[in-house]
Amino acid sequence: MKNMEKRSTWMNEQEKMLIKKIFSAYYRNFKFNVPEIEKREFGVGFEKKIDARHLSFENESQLRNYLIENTPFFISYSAAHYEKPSITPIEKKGWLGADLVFDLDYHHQGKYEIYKFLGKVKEDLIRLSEDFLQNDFGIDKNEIVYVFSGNRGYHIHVRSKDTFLLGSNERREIVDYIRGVGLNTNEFFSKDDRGKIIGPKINDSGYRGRFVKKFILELEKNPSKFYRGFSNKEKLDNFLKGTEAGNWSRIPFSIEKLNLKIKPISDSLPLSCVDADAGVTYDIKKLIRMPNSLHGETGFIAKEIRDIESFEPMTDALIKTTKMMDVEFIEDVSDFEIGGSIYSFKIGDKKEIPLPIGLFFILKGSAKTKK
Amino acid sequence: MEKSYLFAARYPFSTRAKRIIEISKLAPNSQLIEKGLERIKSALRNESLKFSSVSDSDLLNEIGIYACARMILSNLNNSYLINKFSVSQAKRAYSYLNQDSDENIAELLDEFGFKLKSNRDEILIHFSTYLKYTPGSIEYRLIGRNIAKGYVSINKHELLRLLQEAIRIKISQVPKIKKISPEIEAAGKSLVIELPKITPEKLSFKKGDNPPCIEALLIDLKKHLNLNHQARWILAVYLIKKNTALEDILELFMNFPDYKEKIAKYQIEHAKKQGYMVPSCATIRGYGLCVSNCPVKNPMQWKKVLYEKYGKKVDLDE
Repeated sequence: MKNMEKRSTWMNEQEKMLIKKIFSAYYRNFKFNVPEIEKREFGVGFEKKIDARHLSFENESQLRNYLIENTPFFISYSAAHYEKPSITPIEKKGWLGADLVFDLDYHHQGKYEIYKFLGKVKEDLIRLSEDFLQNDFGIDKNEIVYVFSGNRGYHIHVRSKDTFLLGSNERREIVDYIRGVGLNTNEFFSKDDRGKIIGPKINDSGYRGRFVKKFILELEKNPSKFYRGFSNKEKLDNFLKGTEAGNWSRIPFSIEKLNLKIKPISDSLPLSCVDADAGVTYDIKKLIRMPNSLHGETGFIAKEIRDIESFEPMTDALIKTTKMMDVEFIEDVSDFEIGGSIYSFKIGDKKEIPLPIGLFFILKGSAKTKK
Repeated sequence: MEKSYLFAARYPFSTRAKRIIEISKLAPNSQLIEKGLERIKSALRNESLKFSSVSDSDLLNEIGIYACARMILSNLNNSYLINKFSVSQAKRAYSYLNQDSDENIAELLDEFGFKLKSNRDEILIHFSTYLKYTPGSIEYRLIGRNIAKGYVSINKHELLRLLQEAIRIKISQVPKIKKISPEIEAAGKSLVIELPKITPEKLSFKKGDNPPCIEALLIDLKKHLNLNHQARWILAVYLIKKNTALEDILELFMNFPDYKEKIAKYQIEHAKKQGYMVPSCATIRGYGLCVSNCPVKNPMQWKKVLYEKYGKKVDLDE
């Protein structure tokens, strides 16, 4: 948002027109995936991310025409479906249900630093989908849509009848669960009458099961780091056999020492990069970037992703074109990887570079169009 | 038929009860209205009247009493009364459920759309049903639960507790009835006289004086919603730490549908004596009661941070 406020100062009208032309050309041919388009509210932004909301479109061609002609820098739609999406105030729209949406990113300082963390966000995205949504919540993987946010992270749109009618509190509970709010693995352990430490079992589900699996994985990597006696394989196997059935006593640790030892594992279980504050998930009236639309701070496609494992945002999210662009750099950029090449520029450099890359540096405020 | 009447008398909010009213053409009469009124009054006293007779006509009347009570409530449209009534009637239903046959329980679970799977000795409930009807107290938080492939493992007591909550929600949704008989209207009027006077706000609860989580609790309180234990505790400790007088806290807490002065007084005095601190924002988040993203770590810092540091004009949403 802060970047966008500056946009009007650093970009002149000519640059804005040029960018609009590029965006408009993209929207001529872009592929929609907006199920039930007529039931969604849209919001568009020219200066900010959302300058106007409560828009609605009856079908894809109406939306396409709007985008070609008006060409906003940002377009978002409601995760919610409404009877009358364009009516205000929002309470009168007639809420019918909503996709369950998650926003994942890392907050990091620096204009270009954030893009180095996209790989890590992707790992968390996969964990969110596989460990949490599919394993714990039983969501079918065909109902999970991955979308690159077009800038610093990823979105997940769950389009499932199991989650469609969940209210705001229910969605908040799901985010809290995923973020591990209130998780205390110490509570997993207790002593029985005979002083035996009883804990989670390998077959447990939810966080208990996740804890045991992660614990065993870490233990097998370096058993004697956990307890010196485990250099003796027999002792280790005996302990592991015990934990399978929930018996954590086959180690000379007090319950307090055990809790201390497992802390790093406990801390690694929740997914803290799921955005809890923006309300994307639990505000059931929030707008979210429309999949496959362009992001006005980067020119990247907020791409819907078919194969998440192989997706590389810094190449796959660029507009496909062979066109080149003349730009002049107004600040230094060093060793930045985009479009499969590493770029470094000095202030004052005048270059001809691929159009999507030039667009990116202009929108980031590092370059301007060459006069 | 008798079996059906018994079920409907125990669970007069059920579809089966509704059908019986339609078939038997049961209409309000002065006796039923009076008893309906009595049932609402008993809810105000935190009692749930139960029936002892099992004769068909008495059982039929039981259904009629409930229907009349609902008509009176619909006419008055008073959220305090409605919430009091729904809490007490849901508790009443729970006490029957606790002793009822699996078949009858199953009928109600089905009616409320509970998505369940049974698996040997545990009950598995789909997370969508679980989250919809969770009583909200800490032991029901998803984080401490075994959940796999969409299903949460619960025991029978918990299942019935969720069902109680589903019943409470259903009873609290009172549709507006257009044509109301003069007798129902008169009954409503007599009831209003007995209502506790809703407290005019003595405390300084101007918007912005309290952090958003506390504001949210106060709003719920004024709507007479049934806040869970943690929420009440946080509110009580917060008010104590703000040096609010015991009588003022009690006046506020009177808004709870299950308010009992003796118990509330004891609990507040106990909390005061123990010198409990207001829990941190992290803990409040843990209870699922944090509603904002404010720059404080404890609700008590709210005024200090926002007013002294940033001045009054702080918009949290931006």
